[in-house]
Amino acid sequence: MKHIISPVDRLAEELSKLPGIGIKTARRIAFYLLNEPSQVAKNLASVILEARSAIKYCSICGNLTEKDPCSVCSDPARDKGVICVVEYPKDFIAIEKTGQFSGVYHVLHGTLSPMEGIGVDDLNIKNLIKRLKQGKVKEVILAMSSTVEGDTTAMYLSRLLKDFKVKVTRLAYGIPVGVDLEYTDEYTLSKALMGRHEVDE
Amino acid sequence: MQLLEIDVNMFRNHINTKFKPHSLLNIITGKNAQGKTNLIEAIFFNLTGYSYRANSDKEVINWNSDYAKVTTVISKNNIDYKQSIVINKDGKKSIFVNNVKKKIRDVRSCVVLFTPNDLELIKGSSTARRNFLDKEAGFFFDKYQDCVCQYNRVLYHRNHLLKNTYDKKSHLELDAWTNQLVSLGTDVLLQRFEILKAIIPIAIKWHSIMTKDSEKLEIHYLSSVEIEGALNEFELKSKFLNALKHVREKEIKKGYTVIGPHRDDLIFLVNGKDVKIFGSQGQQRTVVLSLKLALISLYKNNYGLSPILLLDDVFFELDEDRQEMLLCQIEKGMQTFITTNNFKASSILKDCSEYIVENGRLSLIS
Repeated sequence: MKHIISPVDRLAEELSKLPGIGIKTARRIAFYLLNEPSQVAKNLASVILEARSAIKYCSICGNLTEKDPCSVCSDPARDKGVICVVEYPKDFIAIEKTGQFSGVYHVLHGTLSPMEGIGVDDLNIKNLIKRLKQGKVKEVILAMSSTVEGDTTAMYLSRLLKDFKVKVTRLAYGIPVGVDLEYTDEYTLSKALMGRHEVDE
Repeated sequence: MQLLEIDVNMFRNHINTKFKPHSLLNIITGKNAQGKTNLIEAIFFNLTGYSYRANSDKEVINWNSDYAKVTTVISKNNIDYKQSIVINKDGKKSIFVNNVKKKIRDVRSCVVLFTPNDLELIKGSSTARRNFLDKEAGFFFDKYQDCVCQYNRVLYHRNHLLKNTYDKKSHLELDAWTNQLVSLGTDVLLQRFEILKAIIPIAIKWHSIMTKDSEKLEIHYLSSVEIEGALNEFELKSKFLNALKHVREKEIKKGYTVIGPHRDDLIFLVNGKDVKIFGSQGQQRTVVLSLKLALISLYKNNYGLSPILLLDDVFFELDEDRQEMLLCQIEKGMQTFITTNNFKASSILKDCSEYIVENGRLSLIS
């Protein structure tokens, strides 16, 4: 290792701290950045810094945004009576892509996970209560992942929201679209069976 | 199901052991510490994807090697295929069927194993008995496996909350984890009952055959939650939930979940007496053998699988009646591997292959 110049090493090490990037990929990126014209590195650095300084949390929904409130919260065409609660900003993108949802969002920035020391106070829940207290919300959709942690967070929220006169719904469980039945695991399939519904004409 | 070929590489003290086993009975003899059990372990490892002896599967790798590999040629429903499992120093396991990489879950086969350690099933802690339910009886019940796995995850979270972060403000958070524990725990319980319903009558039948009706076996599930009288899922859930409410203070004080399927137990009664406390060694062994024979029937009748039987140092320790009973089962077409240091084994048993293991090398005697 002594032949590798330390700045390259340092760069690779920093890059490998990013999610989804191992040390080998980090090294590849590091060497790529060093081989390209210096403008590429400068552009990347300035875009990262710009994004970091320009982007903040929306004071209403907690999503990442350039201007506060965010574009969804300030859009008059959006139905403010329906809030879709998601775990992370990436889930907001996933639901927004469907084009099926015209309400507004609330981002928790995580799930309950005592194992990692994440409790109620570490999630963006207080703001959600504040929004509900204003009394304009008719429905809250709990769009957590179908994991043990996601399910428990949804369960916690549904109990918490009982005191408010809002309809609380949870995303349906079941078979992914376009997947053969035989490839669905038994647990999912049994949940899908329990959650079956009558075929509409 | 039948093994046509076995090839063991760098597995404990077996550097390269390759043989074509007999279609029914294989006797592996040898002195102590020569590698008889290692061979049984290797077969088990190939067929199930894990070792029943090692704390960590990595332990099976030979001291001078970076990997261990076990390959078998298996005949199932008249189709032959080659199955290899490789484990490397990092503990990474890969399994190949006809040289195509597969998931362990999709290829594991059915094995019934009986070792001297199985007496722990009676004598040992409740963990041994839960493992019997989870790892042996419920092994092919994928939904049950998933359910136990999720239950354990919730349990882990809940214990963390109770131990580290709980304060009065977080009772609603604890409620959420409690509800999850109850809903998954009820699922686990219901599926355990189903498994027991299938296995208990067969075990009792075998037990009465072996004792010539002189002893009567009963098996009961001992729940840490008072579930007597719960008739359906809903009632079971509410009983579990209520029980958890009652112990909440205690749980907060102790810092862990004190009741639930993870604390449950099985109790074996012979003629109405707890065989763990009052049973003789022989009686205990008979109960374990009944359970193992019941497993064979369960696999055959309920799952349609024909198992391979591995008997590690237990066959010749049984009395003649019981040996005959087992042989009778084996002669119905179940390939069996028996280890022993009784060198006169083949004189008792007629149609079989006998091998001797010396220092990790196997050779055919007859």
